[in-house]
Amino acid sequence: MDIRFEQVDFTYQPNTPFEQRALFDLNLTIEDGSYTAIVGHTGSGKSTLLQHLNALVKPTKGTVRIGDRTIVPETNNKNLKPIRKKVGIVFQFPEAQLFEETVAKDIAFGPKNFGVSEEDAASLAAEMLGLVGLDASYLERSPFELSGGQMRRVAIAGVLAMEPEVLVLDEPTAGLDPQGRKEMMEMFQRLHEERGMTIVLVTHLMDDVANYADHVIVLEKGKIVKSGIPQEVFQNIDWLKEKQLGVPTAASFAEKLVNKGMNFDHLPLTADALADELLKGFKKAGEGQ
Amino acid sequence: MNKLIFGRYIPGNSFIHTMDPRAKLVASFYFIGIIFLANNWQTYAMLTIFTLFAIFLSKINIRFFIRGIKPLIWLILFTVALQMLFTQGGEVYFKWGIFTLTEFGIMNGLMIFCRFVLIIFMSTLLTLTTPPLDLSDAIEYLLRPLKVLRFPVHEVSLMLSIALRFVPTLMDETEKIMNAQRARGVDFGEGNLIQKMKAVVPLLIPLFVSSFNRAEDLATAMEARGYQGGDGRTKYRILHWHVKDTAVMLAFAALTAVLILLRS
Amino acid sequence: MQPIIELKNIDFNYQPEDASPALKDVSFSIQQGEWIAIIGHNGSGKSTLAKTINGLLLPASGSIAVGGKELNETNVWDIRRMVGMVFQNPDNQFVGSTVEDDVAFGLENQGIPREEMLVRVKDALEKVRMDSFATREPARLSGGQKQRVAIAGVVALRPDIIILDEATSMLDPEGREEVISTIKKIKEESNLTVISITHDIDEAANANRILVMKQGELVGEGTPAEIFSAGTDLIQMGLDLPFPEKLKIALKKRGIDVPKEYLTEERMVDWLWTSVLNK
Repeated sequence: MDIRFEQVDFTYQPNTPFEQRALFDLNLTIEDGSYTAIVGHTGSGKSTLLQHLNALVKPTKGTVRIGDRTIVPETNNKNLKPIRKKVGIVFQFPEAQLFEETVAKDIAFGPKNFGVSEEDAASLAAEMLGLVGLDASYLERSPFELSGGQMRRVAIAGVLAMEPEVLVLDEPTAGLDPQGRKEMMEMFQRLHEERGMTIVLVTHLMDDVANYADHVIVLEKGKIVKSGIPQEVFQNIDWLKEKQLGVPTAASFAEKLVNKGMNFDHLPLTADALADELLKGFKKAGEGQ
Repeated sequence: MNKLIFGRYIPGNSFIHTMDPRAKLVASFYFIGIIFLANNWQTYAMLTIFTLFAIFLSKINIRFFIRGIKPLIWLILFTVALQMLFTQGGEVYFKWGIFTLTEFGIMNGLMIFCRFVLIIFMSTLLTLTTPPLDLSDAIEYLLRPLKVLRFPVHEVSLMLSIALRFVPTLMDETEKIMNAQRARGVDFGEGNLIQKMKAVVPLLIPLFVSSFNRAEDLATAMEARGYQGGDGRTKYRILHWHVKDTAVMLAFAALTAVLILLRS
Repeated sequence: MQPIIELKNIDFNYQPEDASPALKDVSFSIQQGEWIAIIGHNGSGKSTLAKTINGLLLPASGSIAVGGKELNETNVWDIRRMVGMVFQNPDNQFVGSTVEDDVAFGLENQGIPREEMLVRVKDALEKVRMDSFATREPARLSGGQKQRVAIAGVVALRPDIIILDEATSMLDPEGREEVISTIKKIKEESNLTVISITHDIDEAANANRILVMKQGELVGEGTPAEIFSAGTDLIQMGLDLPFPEKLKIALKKRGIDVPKEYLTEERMVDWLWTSVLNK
């Protein structure tokens, strides 16, 4: 399922004294099966863009196509609900959405809202709990007695239980420790590879973008200023710094080598890519002896 | 994104805006008291001129004040109608069963209408020109005498100011939770009353839980910052009483005198 | 020289029935002017440890001395004048309705006269570069800005010690950098003792010494260079691997010999340059 934006504008509270334009003429495609990263400074319009992905808001101009559904400003709000099953959004600090008496009930909440039967929802809950790395003993516990990291996983399971085709993640690792971050990003990678899930990752962490994404969209003040594969987008370190975006650690390190005189065809973005490049250098040095 | 102006405060620099909030608070309550002194068209005219002048001084468009009446319009018209149709006295214009439309009835009806409007205008003037925090400071000051009766003035005032500080934060959080639950298939506006009430559960419970957590964190932080209750504390924010505040108090005194003279 | 903070055999349990104690026989001392980072996996007791230093939690046994005074239930409030603390959640420690009101909160608690409050608030806000935000409401501040206001609130009280309890965990990279550079600046200006509980390797790299907590016990201590050379064990300690370590692992996988000792980025760059091109 593709998601397409065609000349999308969005204005908050149009025709009032508080009017504020957030998105300007956005054109983008999130292809089925891709892993797209959306990056941009705070205030660039990332959250607004996100809310269009499952029709939580409608564009004030232009068209958003989600699969075979078309959303324009005049679209009736009544039938937008099924879209939210297809495109699941995990908001930042998702543990804030937990409310049920047990973990099992909370995970089943989403699917039940979309008409899934009680038994099916329960088995989905058990399945998704395992997917996020928690065992069945958690099912009957209250979500509020869990640790922060565990609560987050339960919340994510609750979104996965809706069996979306596209999974949108808004800073999913915010506030986690390095181990937690690693486990979480690896889990999403597994979902992407094993289940072919389309992933949209909104993040500040350029290393995650470099390690996982196959497509990057850069937003600034509501406009797309660059988009393409990570290789292309992260080539110019000065540009990244000027836009106040982070730089993948490997690229910034490689830049130091470049300043010493080393040459790279493309700046490597990960430790592995850098090691590969250096390997060539080491071999040459070995041959020179 | 916080679009609502909480408490409908509209920033400004007018004579009224820059008055001490204590004066404004006392004046508003006092006005509501003396309005009952009026009982003829001269006294109501006096009050109306006084109110319109105050609105003029605030430099806020009268539209905002008229908006304050809208929510109560049906209540007002109902009360006015009752007065007009059931009061006896003076010339009778119309009679139908239990309903009598008399001269006194019409007069009373109009006066009640005037009273409603003036009270609403005056209280709206207070909230439009005074930030909620200033009002809270004013309330704390005015409640101070109650300390003698062991009333926890400082604690109440601190609770009030912390609550006010968190209102925008909680509003943002409410929006975030609503979005998260809508993304899980909740429909907040749809269905019959029972369904709408059920839909509120996944919103209220997370808000409550998060508020309790906040309260605990906040209490810990306050303790770490040396908070031990109101004793021995000094105040950073102070209110400044100026000559114009005294002038306004005197103006109200003069108004009272005039009303007493003019009433029949 | 007498240490400014000294902990001896600290035990602590959140609940008496708890199987494993939150803190078990922890002892260490900190000299004035040091920057100590405390690291450890989640649940290792690092936050608990921080809260015993300013008496928010009282240990079941053992002693704590701050500035030479042994901490007990009665002098806890005096100790808190010496120790300022910045917490993890930027919103949940912001009491005031505006920036300057929040900075003044601690001063009001100490009964500082108003004229002096005005001076200290302005001063503290300038130190954290938030003076132009004095009348701003918290709802309109970023996480990093709120944390800087919290730091100003501590600085205004002129303590000797500042504890940062995962103060950067909830911030974006920009906010984190703002906070760390503000602390560095203030530490230098006032010779503060800094204790930072953290997961962030860049924050920990500023420390003179790093203490490692594991399941309530103090299991390691060393300089950043010593601790960072632990390689993959760093993840269990709650930190991420520094980039040079990640690169070393990638190179080793490809059959290249790498030096065992810890290298900073600069030294790694130097080593690579000489190894690859100058043979």
